[in-house]
Amino acid sequence: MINKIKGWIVITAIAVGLQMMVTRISGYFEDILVLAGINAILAVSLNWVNGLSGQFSLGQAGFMAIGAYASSYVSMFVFHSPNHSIWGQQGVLIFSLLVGGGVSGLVGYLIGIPVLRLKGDYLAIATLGFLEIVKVVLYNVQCVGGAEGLAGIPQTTTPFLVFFILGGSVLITYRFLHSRHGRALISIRENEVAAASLGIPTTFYKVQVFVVSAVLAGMAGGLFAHYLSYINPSSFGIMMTLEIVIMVVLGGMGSTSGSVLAAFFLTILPEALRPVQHWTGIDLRMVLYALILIFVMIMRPQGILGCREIWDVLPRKKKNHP
Amino acid sequence: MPGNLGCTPTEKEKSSMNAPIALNVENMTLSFGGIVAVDDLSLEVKTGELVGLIGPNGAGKTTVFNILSGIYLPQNGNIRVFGKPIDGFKTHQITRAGLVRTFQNIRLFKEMSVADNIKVGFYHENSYGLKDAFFQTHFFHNQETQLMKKVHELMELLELSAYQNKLAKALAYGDQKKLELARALATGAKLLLLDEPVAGMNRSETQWFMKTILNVKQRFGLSMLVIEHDMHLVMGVCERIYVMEHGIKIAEGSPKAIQNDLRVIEAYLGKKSRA
Amino acid sequence: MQEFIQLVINGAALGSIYALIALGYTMVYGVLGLINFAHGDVLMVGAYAGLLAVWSIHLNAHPTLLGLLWVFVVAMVASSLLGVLIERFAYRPLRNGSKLNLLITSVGVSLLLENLCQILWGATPRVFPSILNQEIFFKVDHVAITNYLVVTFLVSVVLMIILEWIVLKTQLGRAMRAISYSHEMAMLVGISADNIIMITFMIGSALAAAAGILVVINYPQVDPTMGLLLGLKAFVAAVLGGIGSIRGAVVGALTMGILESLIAGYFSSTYRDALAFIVLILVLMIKPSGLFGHHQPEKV
Repeated sequence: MINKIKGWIVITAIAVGLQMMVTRISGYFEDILVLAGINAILAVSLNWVNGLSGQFSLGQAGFMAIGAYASSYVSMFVFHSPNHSIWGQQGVLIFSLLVGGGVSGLVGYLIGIPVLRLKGDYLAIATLGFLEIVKVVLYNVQCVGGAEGLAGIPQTTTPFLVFFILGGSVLITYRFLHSRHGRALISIRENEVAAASLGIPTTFYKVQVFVVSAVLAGMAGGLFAHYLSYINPSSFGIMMTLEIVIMVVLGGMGSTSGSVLAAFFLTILPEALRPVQHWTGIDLRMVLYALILIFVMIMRPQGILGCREIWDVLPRKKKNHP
Repeated sequence: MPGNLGCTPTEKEKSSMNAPIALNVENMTLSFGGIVAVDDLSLEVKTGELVGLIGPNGAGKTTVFNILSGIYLPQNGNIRVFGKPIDGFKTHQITRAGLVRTFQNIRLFKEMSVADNIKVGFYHENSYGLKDAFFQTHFFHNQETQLMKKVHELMELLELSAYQNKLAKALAYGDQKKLELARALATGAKLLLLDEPVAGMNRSETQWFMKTILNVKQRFGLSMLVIEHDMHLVMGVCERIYVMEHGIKIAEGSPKAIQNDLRVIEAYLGKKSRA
Repeated sequence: MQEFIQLVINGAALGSIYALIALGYTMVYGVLGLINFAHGDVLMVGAYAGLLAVWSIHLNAHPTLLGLLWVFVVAMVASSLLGVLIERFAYRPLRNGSKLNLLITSVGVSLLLENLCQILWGATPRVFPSILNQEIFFKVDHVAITNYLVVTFLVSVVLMIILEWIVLKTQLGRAMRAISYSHEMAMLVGISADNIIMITFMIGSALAAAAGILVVINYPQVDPTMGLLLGLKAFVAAVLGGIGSIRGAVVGALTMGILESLIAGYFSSTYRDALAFIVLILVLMIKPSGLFGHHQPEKV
């Protein structure tokens, strides 16, 4: 029994540890770490589509927006009376995150079936189109604030929850990849025709992965909304999508740990460069991102880790695989 | 449908014994914008038979395979695999119906290990779901252990054991061909379509490979349809041969009959020329 | 009815602007197989160059036809230089890599241009001085044809005729078409792929800049992200017409322009921007090769 949930216990412990560490340091570092964690969840979610399944989506911010709005709606309007106990707050948040992830996953399913018939650059543009449509809809739906957005979302996101969900998504990804389902998915990326000819239901997997990715992005969106307590449609534009894409590309498309590392690196880097920025008076962040994207593509198109994981690269004891 | 084991006779195999025809194609036609690639083709492969499909380059042989494996949709025609109509089936459904193919230009999963390539072939062997994978249940571990045994058996049979953890792209050409065969066998399909299995191999490799093919055919009770240019080989092992030219079947019969067929000789050598 | 005709005419003007942009997408796709994500940003840089040109001769004080021409020329030259630079330094090193890497690079180039312009000019929109006194050129019943519409149609038709002539009648055009069939074969018969691709980028970028100037004459402001949505819509137009087909790009763009104008006129302009993407997804679902494209089945 303990063996079965060993991985989950480890993740919980790490998340608790980080929570205790983060609350002891300044609010500024807490902000950076939590946002880095949320970005990492987004990067892991996009890596499912762009790295593992070999498709290319630019719509991730759309799923994030759906999750953010749906979960905020639940915690603001379904549970209107403010809950003061920490357990009550966390319970409401977890429930609203599940709703946010669920709604996002459902939309992912409905969009995925038609859109995933496309490949490569066409899929990229179609998913970008999906993102724009989500934004237009949000601008025009008054019950979630329209163009003004939603303010006063309960600020209940804790570092523990962020890191627990991040850890959980990494663990799930790892175990998925080492199962028959993961092998089927990678075979589709490697050679779709051959995979189908071996009896792999390719469309089923592509849609399924798109849904998983949407669920994770939706939950990350929920965490994001409940951390900042204010969202509006323009928070989830093409820039947000591109930031996530850059993380996945830099880390190495197909590498989950690479995506996480790149997410932390790219969230912390602009903060580290703040003095330079202050001195020159120029917002270097996006220029830097753009240059990273171009140089990675020209110098090392597979990203830092390629398809490998950090634990494949580091020296380690002999593997004792079951 | 229960997973059919690759190595022991199963329900499926028994039922295929009852249906004497492994593959039955009637009046199959496919044209690409005015060019008729396959014209009113009929052919059949009896259970346990090894049938050759030959013809000059561009005759439409690979197109036939692409239709049979569901990659192209024919405009006309009926296809039955072990008696079951597969019209409108997707590729993976056709494989489940018992037809699997290899490719002329090898299509391995290059970044996956040899063992993992074969495991993909065994996809339907296991039945555990996502939940079992996420929580690493006993069911998951048992099935994965069983699977590994089967993978080892196949690797041993095809002399691939030494490369178990090597990436597929790192294999030599001949070994890649073997791996593609192993992967196809893993699916448990009983009708094998081989597209130029020994192209690019030298004499001894070819002989080893053909011996292996006959061996697995015997062992797993397979039926086969083979495209091959190596006439020596085709005439040597095939029980029956179909000859195509410009999408049309121009001859069929035993190797002996085909060798003496005037139309076949013309198709290969031209009417007057001497090769 | 009169309103309808007016909307269609305005839409056709918008459509011919989209066409100029869409041609750039289609031509680059033809020779490289790349959706040039940065194309809209090249247009934006062209518009800024136009702004410089206006200031350089104090055109805003008294608009003249010669001055208008000067603005077009400066913008087009600046953009074609930029197009060449982008091709040379960002795309050429990746030409033999995967198409996806090329697409990601073009996304990076787009980000870079937008943010560099933001540093240079600020994020807030700049007013583009009026260089054409908008007045009604002639009127049939209540349908008004402004001189802006006349200029737009004139510029786009002239540029399209020149392009058509280049592609169909000149040695350069033949080389471009040859390359779009196969780089290797074109090189075997002595065509320099590098040069032809470079010239393709020059032409495409110049057309985008002309479109950019036409846009800012009517909506008199420039900002670093103006190219994004324009570019995406023109791309949709190119896909609608069948990417790779020059006629298709023009027909697709006109259709898009007229549809947008009608939707903005009869419904609401907030839904106008969603239209493009709904059209895109529908086209890709129903006939991915577009109106004039050819679909090539995957070789197995």
